[in-house]
Amino acid sequence: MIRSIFKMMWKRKKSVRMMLLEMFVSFILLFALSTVILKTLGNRLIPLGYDYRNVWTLTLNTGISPDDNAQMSNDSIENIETARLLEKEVKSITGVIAIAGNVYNIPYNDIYRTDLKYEGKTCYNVTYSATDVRYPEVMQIKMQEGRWFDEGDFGSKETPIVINGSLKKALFGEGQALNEVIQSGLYKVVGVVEYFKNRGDFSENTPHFFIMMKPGELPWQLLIRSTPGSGEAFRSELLGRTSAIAKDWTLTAGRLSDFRKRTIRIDWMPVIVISIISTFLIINILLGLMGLVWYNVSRRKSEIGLRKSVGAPTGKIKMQLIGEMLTLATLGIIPGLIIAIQFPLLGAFNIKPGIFLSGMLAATALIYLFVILSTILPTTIISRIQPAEALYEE
Amino acid sequence: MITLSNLGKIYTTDEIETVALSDINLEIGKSEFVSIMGPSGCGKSTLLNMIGLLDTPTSGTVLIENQLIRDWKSNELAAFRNMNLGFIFQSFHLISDLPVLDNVELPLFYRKGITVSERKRLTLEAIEKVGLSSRAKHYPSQLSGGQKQRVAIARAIVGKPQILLADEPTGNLDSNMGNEIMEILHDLNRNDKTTLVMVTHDERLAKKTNRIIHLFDGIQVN
Repeated sequence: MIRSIFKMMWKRKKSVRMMLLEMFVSFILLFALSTVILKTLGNRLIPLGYDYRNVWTLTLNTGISPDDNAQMSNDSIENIETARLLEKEVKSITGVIAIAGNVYNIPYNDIYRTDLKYEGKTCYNVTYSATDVRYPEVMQIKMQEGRWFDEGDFGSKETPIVINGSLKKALFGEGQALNEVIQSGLYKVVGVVEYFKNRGDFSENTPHFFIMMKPGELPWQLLIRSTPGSGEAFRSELLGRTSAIAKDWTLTAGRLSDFRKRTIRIDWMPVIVISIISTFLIINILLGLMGLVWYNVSRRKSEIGLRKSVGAPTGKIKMQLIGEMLTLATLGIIPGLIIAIQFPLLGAFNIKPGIFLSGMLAATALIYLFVILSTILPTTIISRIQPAEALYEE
Repeated sequence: MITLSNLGKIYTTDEIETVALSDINLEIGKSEFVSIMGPSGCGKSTLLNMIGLLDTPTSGTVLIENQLIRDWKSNELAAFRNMNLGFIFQSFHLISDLPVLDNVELPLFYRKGITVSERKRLTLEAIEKVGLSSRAKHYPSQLSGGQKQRVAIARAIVGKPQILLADEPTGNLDSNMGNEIMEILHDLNRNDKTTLVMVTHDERLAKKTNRIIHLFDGIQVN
């Protein structure tokens, strides 16, 4: 049967060109969609590295932008004293478990980036946060190696940093990271946390590091761990009591869980957009396929009648027609696979080869499924036709 | 060999009933060459379809080779046709995308328990019998009308059926080619003892057969 199908396909190569193109385009589209979805879902399986639940942020805006080159004024003794009083006030609010100061990125925020160098290697676009000794308690971070920075590090020649596993791999490979000095003697690695996905759940464990805040540095945010269930009443109390102390500052309270929701929406947006476009295209393709199958089988009604007259059972006719469509799909998929295989070979988009391969597999399986779905109804109807009716219909 | 008893066929469309065949009683013996004649629309092809089990009668029975064909399932009918009947059509009904070899092989493709080498042997034998060995790899579009009909005959006889049913086999051919085709059919009847039932408009051809059955408005008139 397969030999016969290939012979017929080859003879009909001109008339099936359009269908082959349709299969090829469908494959590429489904491959892209499957790869994006698999990558995004695969990232979800990587541990987050911290606990975002019940963590509040209180953003302290003194009204002086760091861009105004007014860092000195921002870190003035008055401001530092106000921040100290604020922390004291926050601690006294019922339900507050722990507080830490933070500068630059907080979780679900990756604006601040830098390049880090170590022995000729450069890791680009590394996100970073400056924070204090209390951060692990607030964010529930577990050390993999070494320690978090502490008061004993004040006055060290190199600024102590804690790096995540991804940054360790990028700079040190399988080698030792602890006590290594990077960035031309600026930073010294004192600890490693295996996972810290600064961008959130659906991102990769991209390189990230924590610098110890300088003594007397004004935090941009206070990160506050509260008891479970703290809601709007907590927010009101937090803002009410802190605004009474920092009267000239603009204070904003937010929850990491809300930032997380927003980030997830942003992360899934491309997937949703591609899915919507793909759904429309796939519906079109399905309808197109069905139309082509209908046309194909109607045009070949007399051939089907002939096959029945010479003794073809209904099942074999169905198999023949479905087999032809699957062969056609295979011929359309092959050039798609040749293109798709280039992505893992070239290491494109920093996506693991396994994800690309799974994407190819998923796209192939979906194409075959669509072909079978769109073929099964027309072939069932046509294969049940009386041979006399099919033979004598012109 | 073939017995039709009180055979009738009524086509119903949009509440209009058209009687195609009415009360046909017919016996065709083994190795007989019978032709069916009558004006257009009198039910000749319908009768041939009933004998060939390509359509189901509204009333009456068909008995072939002592087997009463009644309430058979589609696949049972297909298997019976495959083993016992061969068809030749006016418009050849060749699959244009397959070469002669594959067109002829088609009935064997659906036969159970036959090896590939046996299939090949029977196919080449049938092609040789109709004198088309040199054209085995040609496609139907590369053949003349007479050659196409010879391919159709080869396809009809490849499975060595006992009964051949031909629906105006020379209808699309000029007289020379028609004569060639008739010669082959007579050979099959004479030498292989194949039973032949042929629908024709051509009285000259019909007269060369053993018996002529005349139909008029779905009724057997002789």
